[in-house]
Amino acid sequence: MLKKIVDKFEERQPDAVVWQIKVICAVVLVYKLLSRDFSNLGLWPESVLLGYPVDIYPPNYILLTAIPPIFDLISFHFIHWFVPIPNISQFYVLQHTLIIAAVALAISPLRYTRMIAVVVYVLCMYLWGFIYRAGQDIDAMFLLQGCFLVLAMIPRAGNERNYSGYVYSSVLLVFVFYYFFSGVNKVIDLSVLEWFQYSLFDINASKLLAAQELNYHAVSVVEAPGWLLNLASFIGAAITYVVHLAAPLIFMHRSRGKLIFYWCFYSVFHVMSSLVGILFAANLLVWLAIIPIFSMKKDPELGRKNDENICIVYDGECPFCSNFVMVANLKKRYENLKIINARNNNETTQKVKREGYNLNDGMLVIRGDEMLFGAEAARFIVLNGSGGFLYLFYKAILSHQKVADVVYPMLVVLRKRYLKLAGKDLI
Amino acid sequence: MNDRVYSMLSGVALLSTIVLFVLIDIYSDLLLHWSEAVLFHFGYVVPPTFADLLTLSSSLSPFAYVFVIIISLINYRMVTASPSWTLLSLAVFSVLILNGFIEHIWLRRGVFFILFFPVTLFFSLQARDYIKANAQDIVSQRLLLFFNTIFLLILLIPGFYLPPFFDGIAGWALNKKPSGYNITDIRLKFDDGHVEWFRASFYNPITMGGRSFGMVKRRDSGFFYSEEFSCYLYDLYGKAYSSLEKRKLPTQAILGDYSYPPHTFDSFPESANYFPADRIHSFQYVRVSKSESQMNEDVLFEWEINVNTCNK
Repeated sequence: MLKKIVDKFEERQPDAVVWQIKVICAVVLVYKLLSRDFSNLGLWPESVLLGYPVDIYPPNYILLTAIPPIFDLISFHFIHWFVPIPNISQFYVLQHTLIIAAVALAISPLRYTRMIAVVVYVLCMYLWGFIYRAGQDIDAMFLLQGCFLVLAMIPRAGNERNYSGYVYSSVLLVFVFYYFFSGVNKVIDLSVLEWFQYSLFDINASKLLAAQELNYHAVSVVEAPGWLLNLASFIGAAITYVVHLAAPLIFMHRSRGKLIFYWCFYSVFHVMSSLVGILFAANLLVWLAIIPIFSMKKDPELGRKNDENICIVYDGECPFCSNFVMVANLKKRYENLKIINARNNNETTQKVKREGYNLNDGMLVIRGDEMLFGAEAARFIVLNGSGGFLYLFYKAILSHQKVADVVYPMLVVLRKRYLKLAGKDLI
Repeated sequence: MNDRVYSMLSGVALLSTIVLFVLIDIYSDLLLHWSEAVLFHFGYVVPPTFADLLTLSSSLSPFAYVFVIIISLINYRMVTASPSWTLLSLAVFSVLILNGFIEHIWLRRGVFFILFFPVTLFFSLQARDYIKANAQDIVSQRLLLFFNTIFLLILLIPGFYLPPFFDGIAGWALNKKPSGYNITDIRLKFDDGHVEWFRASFYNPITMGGRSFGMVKRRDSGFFYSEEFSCYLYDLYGKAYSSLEKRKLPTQAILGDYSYPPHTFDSFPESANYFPADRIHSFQYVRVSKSESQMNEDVLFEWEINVNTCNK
């Protein structure tokens, strides 16, 4: 398990991934800042504004580390041990400086990313620190600020080759920690019966009534059959806890399809929270930072990572086999790739025959000392290749072991049929 | 950490939990008095009410002791054999059952910390050693060690809160289903006698319903019941009014309907009629409740506005 985690963490990514993360995070931050007015904080008395999160929540949920001086240090509010809190215009300037810094982060070259991310992180943490002191926004900003922390922490100088991979993996861990511990917390805090005691739709009905009769805060309305609402009320929270506990899968299984699936699930969860009057819009948007848009294989630098000796032996007279080998573009990934026509009589084909492989029953991949034959060889090619539509078609039918075991023998039969029709001999 | 040290630690953890339970059974009042003193020392501006914590059972169920021992054995097995999903699931399920025998969340968190400290520390140290030996470079090593440490801290420290890391919002469980509503908030009363809510978004950027004035009341009740507080509300309203007259919330001042929503979701009510600040007669701290079909409304406090004082 530890090996898998370390290997995953060190998986390389193209630089475009860092661009994706910083642009999305900066845009979401600017979006939120344009809807907030921090200058109002200048109107608060110091006695209220500089309280600590620990005194906001009920003592049952004691926040052991939300106390002085720890909170002052992490929010950079320790500066107010020496200087007074800003006034209205100073807060205004700070907010707009943060907007400018966020824009700079989004458009600046990667070599300046860390420096600007430090500025963004410090300013963002400082300003939102006041909101955290009021016990608000903890769920709405931690993903975003976690991403900025990652960008501010990881050096690029002297680490260009692995930089993007480390940034991406660290950001994924920020997401994992956010959701996973929210699930763990429900194991630590609740009993098994309490997992089924959250009447989401009753709370929604109560809030809706207050909104309709008193013009109080608006909430989302849900219209569905009663039995469905009851069922969702009964198991909805428990399902959410379980999925939260499964959050490490985000890190371990980071393919585009799977991340989009997780995003959809958490989006439903975040949108459902609007039924009780809270909408985690930033969390919905910041997921876009981790959905893989840029394929690693499109980066030619990354494609040449592997210097293994790979040899493919296939029937050069079979147009389907040739096409299959060509469209997979394995040359991009393996520097030392040899493609050998099985009909040629050379040292490799003789060796293959001596080993007992019948090349009429399938192609062969020689990978170091290992020999992959038939469906296994085809799977190796599709899993390590890259390419366009045809490649994706082959990948779709051959990448899964069980499917490949069924499909490949059929392809072998078709090849033999073709050779017979074309009047060509078997090997 | 070798197996011998781990065994000693887990033994100590088991004994500590049992001793804690026994102490709670016998000395709950004294323990709560100490807890209150500690919490006060660590930053409560106003001493919290511990009434709910004082309702500890006179005695814990024997099943609580049984499950503590079961969890300790599972943890021990996870270290001495190899960790498996079955054992992990059993541990999680046992904790959920154990929690059923412990009334208060702070105690559940404390018991989890004590029981799981040895096993979490054991695996965290294993991870640290592996990372040190196998990370491909110093950057990777430092990052993985950082996340490993954060993982350990969040898991173990009850109420871990170190932005941007947090151990999650409180569990969602209701003892009683809501019927009707029960609202305590601040209202504006205008010179024609009609009232409107002082909406959460008027406190922008602190836009969570009830949090702003609640925070003032808790942290500085003198200020809350003073004329200065009404001036503070008056100033906020004055700034918000430029949006309100366009029938937008203050959070919608720049981006309009496409703006980022307030923390407590809201929109400008169609029937609301907000007047300019100079037409405010007073601010009212009210409680409005409705159960069954009966509605009650109490004005808990009222600040009459003296515009001249506020404009100084």
